[in-house]
Amino acid sequence: MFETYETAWCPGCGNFAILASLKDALNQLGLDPSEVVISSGIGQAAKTPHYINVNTFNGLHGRAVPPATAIKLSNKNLTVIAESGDGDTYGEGGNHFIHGIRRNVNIAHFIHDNQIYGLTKGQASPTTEKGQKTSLQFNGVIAEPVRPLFLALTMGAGFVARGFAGDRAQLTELMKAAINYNGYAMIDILQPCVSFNKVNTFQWYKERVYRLPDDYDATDFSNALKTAMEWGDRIPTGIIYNVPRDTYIDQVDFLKDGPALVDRTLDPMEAKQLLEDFI
Amino acid sequence: MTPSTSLMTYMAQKSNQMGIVVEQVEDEIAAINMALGASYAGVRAMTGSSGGGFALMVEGVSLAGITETPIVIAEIQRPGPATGFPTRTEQSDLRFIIHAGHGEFPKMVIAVRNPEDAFYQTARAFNIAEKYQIPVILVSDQYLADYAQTIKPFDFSRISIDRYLDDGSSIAEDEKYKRYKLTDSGISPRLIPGSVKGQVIYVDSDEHDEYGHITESAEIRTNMVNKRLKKEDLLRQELIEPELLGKDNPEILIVSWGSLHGPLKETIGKLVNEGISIGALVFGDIWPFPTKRLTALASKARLIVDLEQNATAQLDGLIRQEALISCDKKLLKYDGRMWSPEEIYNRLKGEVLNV
Repeated sequence: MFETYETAWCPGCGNFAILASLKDALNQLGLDPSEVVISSGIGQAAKTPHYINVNTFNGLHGRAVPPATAIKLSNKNLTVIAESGDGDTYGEGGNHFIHGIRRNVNIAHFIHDNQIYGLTKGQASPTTEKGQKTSLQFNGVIAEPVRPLFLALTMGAGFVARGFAGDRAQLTELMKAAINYNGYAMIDILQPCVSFNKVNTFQWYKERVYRLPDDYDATDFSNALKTAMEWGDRIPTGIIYNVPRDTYIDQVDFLKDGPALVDRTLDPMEAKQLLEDFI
Repeated sequence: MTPSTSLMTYMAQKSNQMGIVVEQVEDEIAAINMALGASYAGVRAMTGSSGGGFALMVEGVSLAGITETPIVIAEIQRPGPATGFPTRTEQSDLRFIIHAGHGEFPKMVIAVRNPEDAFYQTARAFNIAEKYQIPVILVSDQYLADYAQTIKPFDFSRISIDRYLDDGSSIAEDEKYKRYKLTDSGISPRLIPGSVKGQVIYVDSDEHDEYGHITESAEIRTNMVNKRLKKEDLLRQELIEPELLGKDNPEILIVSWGSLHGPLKETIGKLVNEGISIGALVFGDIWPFPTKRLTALASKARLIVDLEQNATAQLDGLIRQEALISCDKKLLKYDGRMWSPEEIYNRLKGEVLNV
């Protein structure tokens, strides 16, 4: 139902596994392609919606979140996913990432994090490690990396998770949970860039990632902060934080209780009442 | 951004009563990208700012162009460059607005002239945006945004909401919807997501094929550019010619635009009463540029005078470019203070009529 397309990704790219998990998640949730919208920016990750049969708004670099937010507010009956890379989301789109969390509109945000700008051949992204030499930072990156999960938690996100393209079974479950979460749900998905990141390889991730134990308490905020900062020799994957929060729609009566905005009928004569203020 | 703030404030005040979502977002980039997302999802969407904020929106104007997503944008001018005079007035963004957005695509620019014009033209802007699937930009300024005037009640029965949405009935069962179907008019049937089960709607900021999928094909690229630009030919047929104030075939023809309508109406009336053969052509629709009425009047006028609230005579340049007509004189003002009827009168007397 979600179909197969020829891709422009390199053989061995982590995006293949993420795409496969996305299709599995949507299939397992029993969604029809016409009920799902993916908003994406620009980059290798942002091409994802072209390789799956769902509604797609493939907009500008860094701008996946604002359209996704508005699509959900306009038609709350759609399942809305924002899908983009680490550069797109944490660099150009950093402002929208932060304020999207604050707004807490019910969208799932899947961030393909390969710690490099892959589409433009290997410049440092906001998640490239300090000191790493790249095709642009010949002497190594000077700036500190963004810690996305920690940032999301401190901004008040109610659903924060990390996945790994090498653990498809877990990733599919994470995606389903994020889509079903009532509010903004982000998954930072670690993936190798086989062509342009020679440091964070599949092997590099494989040696470090571990699944959070079954008894991990995802409702404990201070523990979540600690877990979100765990990086280096051991990198946790799974749902790091998951608590209910009122969404944007929950807080606006006519959005919550009324029909979806697209289903409303409009009559210009209704607006005539506004003239009374001036008379 | 000042002086566009009153638009948002008014709509926020009415949001509960009318069920309008008004969200103050992190920046103007988010604003236009949200508006485009909302429009894609199937509601009518509008955003607005002053020149500086509109500058941040410009990539989004281009996105509206290639994705053929209807949007209405209000640009409430103030004197620039940069922060300029934040709370004063000017008409210096005309060229910027007309050319806003990289690449080539059709858009419409309407300069509103007074409160009534603003009301009716805003409603028209939404219908045109949806009919041609283009950005329509309404241009105002601090003066028009902030002044008060007694007017007749708006006639709501004159307003229609024309959505031009497709219902998918022409799509065969085994056929996939083409968001960018090549048609004679250049306008493709527009479906909204979720409206037809099994059908998906792809829009893409990359050049795309008829389905909306990214392409590198030279042939498709050429076809898509032609398709988008074809819409401008139709758009030209929608144009409303500028309003003529004063004498029918004046010897002295003033050309102006937007909010100068009010002060000019008073001044021209006074001069006509003095027996002077004078008229002012005040442009509302300004891009694509309507040339018919101007060309007809210019051929009979003895003197053509450009009168604007900017330093570089932007309308005069546009007239030369689009109508091949040169103005004989330019009366310009760019001190951030609105032209008053007295000032127009005195400068016309001093620089045009008594020389």
